[in-house]
Amino acid sequence: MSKEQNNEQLSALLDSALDEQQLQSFMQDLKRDPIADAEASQRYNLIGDVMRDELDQSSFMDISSAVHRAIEKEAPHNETPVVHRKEQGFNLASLFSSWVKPLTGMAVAASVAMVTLLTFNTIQSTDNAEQPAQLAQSTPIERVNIDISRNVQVTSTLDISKKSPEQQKQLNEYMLKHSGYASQSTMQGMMPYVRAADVKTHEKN
Amino acid sequence: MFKIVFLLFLSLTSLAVSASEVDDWLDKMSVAMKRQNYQGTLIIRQDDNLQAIKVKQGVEVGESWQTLESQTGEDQIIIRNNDSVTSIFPAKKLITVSTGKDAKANKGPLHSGLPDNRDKLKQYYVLKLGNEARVANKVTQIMQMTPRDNHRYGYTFWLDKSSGLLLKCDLLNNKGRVLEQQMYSEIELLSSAPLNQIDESKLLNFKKVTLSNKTDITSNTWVVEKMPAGFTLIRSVKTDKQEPAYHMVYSDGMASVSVFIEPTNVNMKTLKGRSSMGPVNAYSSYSNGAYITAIGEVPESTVRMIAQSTHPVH
Repeated sequence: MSKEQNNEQLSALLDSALDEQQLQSFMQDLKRDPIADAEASQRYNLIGDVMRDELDQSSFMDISSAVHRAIEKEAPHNETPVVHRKEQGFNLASLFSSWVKPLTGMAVAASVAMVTLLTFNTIQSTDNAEQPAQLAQSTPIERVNIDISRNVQVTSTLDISKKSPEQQKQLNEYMLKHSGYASQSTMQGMMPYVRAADVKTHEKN
Repeated sequence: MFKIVFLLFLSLTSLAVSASEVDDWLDKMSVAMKRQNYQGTLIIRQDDNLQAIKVKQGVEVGESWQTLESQTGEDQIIIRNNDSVTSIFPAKKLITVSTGKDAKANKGPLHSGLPDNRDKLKQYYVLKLGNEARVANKVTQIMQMTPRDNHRYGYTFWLDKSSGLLLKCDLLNNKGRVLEQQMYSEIELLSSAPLNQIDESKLLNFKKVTLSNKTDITSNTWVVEKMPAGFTLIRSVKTDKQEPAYHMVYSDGMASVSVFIEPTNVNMKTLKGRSSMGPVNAYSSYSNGAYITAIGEVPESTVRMIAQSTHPVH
């Protein structure tokens, strides 16, 4: 079977236009050149989806198909403009296309993978945008958590904050004095001083 | 029989080699801490709190100095050299200087050295070498110090393989939980002292306070009855003219504990019970007409035991 015939059958397959016999014949042929035909199958699958307007967002997250599309930009297929119209995130790919071409296969794959990640984020954002209440809720919670963690830190590592200002001052002075001697008398060297550097001094203020 | 003797010989030999290697690394670390010129950024993590401190060390003929500049939180610069400790607080336009007798502890090298206390360390800590790891883009040798009792914390050191300099240190409690991490995110080893870039002209209008009101004493009128094994008195100073007013420092070579004894008429509200600042614990109690506070980078149970067993010598 010639490549043109093969492609025609692929189109028919994707359009569910093959009868049982034709399907068996096609599958036999496919086994002979699995890699080349898998690529073709993937490409035609995408085209078929686009033509039937059944494109799933997940198609755009398939790195291998995105790689194919990037490589094939040299000889554009039907799918390119359709894809741009269909999914805004892939406009990024067109922005990169001017410098994608001269790159080697690996570089192309890497750059497209990056685009895919960007696209994925865009899709996620879109999904989240449908639930503004949740998003609005999560943001302040995150901020509150940061504050809480700071408070926890103050409580747990600077337990002296529970003391009165006079007591804190006294403990700070003790800490500073202790650090001065500890750094000289132990193998730890400057470590006690490093701790003291964070102690807020009220000394002779 | 021959096999058993041979295996015993082999295991003893490997132990001896390992002990020797640990000693070599301790020596290397001690020498580097005293003699290495460097500058870098030290990151300190305590719970969720992160601090960054710019550290510089310069070692010149007859003089060694170190500057610690806080990069986060309150602006503070500590300058240590042979005979003084200067703390600069730019926001408060304040400089405190420890000189005279108070700076006695600062004479000589900046760091207490090995190998004087090496054997002592081994009595209270198990020292083991671990694998290699990468810290601040340098290959390091990991060394663990595990305490033999619950009165002190454990340490994990990451030592630069080429210089022996301590690049990372974890402080661990007796359950192995990390209480504090100190690590250089970047460090530059130098062949000569780094430039000290503190602009002294900006400090001219700062208020200067000299902290030198202490006197070393040779005999104590107060004593700690229950001191964990290995902690010995290394310094004792009279902090004020009135009685009692003492600062006693004890150390086992790694950890240290200060005991402060203050008269009850000190103008402060009574300190009582436990306090903590990161891995440093403090415990205050009242005894025989004095406030006693024990503070150190040891477990809370240790400072409590020390504070509660401090009393006048009768």
